[in-house]
Amino acid sequence: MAGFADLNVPQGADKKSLQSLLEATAHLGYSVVALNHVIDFKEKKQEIIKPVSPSELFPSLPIVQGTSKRIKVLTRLTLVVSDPSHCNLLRSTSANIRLYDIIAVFPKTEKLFHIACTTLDVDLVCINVTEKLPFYFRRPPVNMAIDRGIYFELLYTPAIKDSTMRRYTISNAISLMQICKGKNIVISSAAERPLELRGPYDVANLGLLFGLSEGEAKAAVSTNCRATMLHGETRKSACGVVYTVKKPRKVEEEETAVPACKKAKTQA
Amino acid sequence: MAAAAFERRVLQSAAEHHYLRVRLELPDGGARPNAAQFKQLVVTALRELHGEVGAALPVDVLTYEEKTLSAILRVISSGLVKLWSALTLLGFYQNRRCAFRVLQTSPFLLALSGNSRELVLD
Amino acid sequence: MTSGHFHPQRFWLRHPRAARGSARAAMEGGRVALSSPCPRPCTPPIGYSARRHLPISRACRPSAPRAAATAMVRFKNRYVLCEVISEDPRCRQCIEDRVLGLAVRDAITRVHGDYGLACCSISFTVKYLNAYTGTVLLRCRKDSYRLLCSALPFVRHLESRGQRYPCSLNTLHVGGTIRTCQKFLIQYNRTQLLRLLQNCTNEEERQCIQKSLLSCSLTEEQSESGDEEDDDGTETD
Repeated sequence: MAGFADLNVPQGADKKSLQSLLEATAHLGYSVVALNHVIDFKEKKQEIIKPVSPSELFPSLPIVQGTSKRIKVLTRLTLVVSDPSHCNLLRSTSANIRLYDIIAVFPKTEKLFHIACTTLDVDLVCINVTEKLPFYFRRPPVNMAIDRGIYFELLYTPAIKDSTMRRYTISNAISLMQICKGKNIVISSAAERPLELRGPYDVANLGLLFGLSEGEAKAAVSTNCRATMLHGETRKSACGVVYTVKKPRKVEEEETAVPACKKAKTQA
Repeated sequence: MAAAAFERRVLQSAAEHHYLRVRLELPDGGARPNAAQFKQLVVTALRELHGEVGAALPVDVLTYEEKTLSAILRVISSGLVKLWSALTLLGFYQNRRCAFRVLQTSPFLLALSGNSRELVLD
Repeated sequence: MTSGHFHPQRFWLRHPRAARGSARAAMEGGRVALSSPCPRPCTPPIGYSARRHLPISRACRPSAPRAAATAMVRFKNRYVLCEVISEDPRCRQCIEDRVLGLAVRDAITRVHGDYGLACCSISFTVKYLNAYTGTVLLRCRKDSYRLLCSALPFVRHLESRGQRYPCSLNTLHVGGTIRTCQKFLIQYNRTQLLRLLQNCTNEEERQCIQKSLLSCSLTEEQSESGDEEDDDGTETD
């Protein structure tokens, strides 16, 4: 089973609070955490900086409770786009973007949502939970996003803080579920303090509240997160990610040199 | 001697109640709730998320330890999702941030006594 | 002064049930082909599943059902017809859609909490109001109409301009389309008029009521029982 993952931990400036946050996530049972760097174009033109390598930030990573492995820390970039010109940054060949493991986009208008689902090269599309959706989800872009392997992200920490945010979170989540039928959903926190985090099974139960089935809700915290990470890795490599497992039998040199399609022709 | 005939009976979701072991995490300093206040907190959480219908769910606090702030709750099986989601989304206790951690849940009370996750093997 | 009116909507070109039937007929066609005897086991060509005449992937292509009418599966709504009952005659004047919407939302919040309000308010509107008779038509999603209906008895008062009028909502009919609610409302109004006829005091009122009884029907009038269109299933507002 894929380990639990929390793909949205805001990267604050304070190193000590980040360390305590990481320890809290490891204690709760999350195996993977992604440090989120948010870029908002509305304020001023910001340059995309190189991601801070987790090994520099944290000398020793805490051990995930229940396993004997250390927690894995990824880097993630979120672009808050409210204008189509902001998307040009993604298409540019700036080297800094390639260094992030996961790229997410937060569309603010319907047109941008459509562009993000159909053409943009991202891994996650964030769904707004803090205010009433300004647009309705339509089925064609959502289905295209599902075919392309893009996941929709929902946050649950605003629901803990405030009652009106709770209503918007549940309402937006249920509208999304009715369109996408529960596929390709990732639920993550945006916790700034350790007390705002919730355990993976609690978050899976929140998925039940949003209308997912039990299997889909658990997948939203585990399997879908792993798929997102793999989708991010495909951007660094050429076409896809293939996991190879060492087979016990002996393989000769010539066989591995000739690709399989050519082998069929030469042998026939 | 005739062999005994066996019949297999499968009971699905037959348990009437579900039991949860929960722990309340509060920042240090400040008054800790006693048993009655703890139950009041649980009911308040239910009322905020699920209204009067949720607050009327038959929830019982079977045990409560004030020192560790951990408790065992019993709820009727149809109300498990409501109670669990209400505890998850509770954010504040007396204007202090708090968090409910659900440690174990099971339809059988006996299953809460052993936790294979915290098992230490020598 | 009626404060509500039916919005003219576009007609369905084909009845939506016929469209669903065509999808079912396509499936039936596929199944009939399968039942014909196959002489020898054969591997299906690539791109076709064992049902030989249907391409793979009704499962892999989740987007459009093969119905001809629309590419989008419509959202199913429920329309709840209620009547506002109050002793205070001034209450009738203050019935407005905003006031009533707030009162119903408040009741849902009290009874079902944040979750209930979030569920019900996805597609919640006051579709029609008649201040004279106190008739209200509410719309909500089919998945959450039970939450709405169970919260309606808990509406205690309407508040407008700082004044509170105690009232209660009486649910008359729950229907899937506006048209069924319309039909029910006409029958209901007819029985109400008959009841008023019995309580008539003078001849003039009696004549008036008898005339309106004879003339109320689905197609003739313009105001309340006129334009009968289905509410469009796709979201437009």
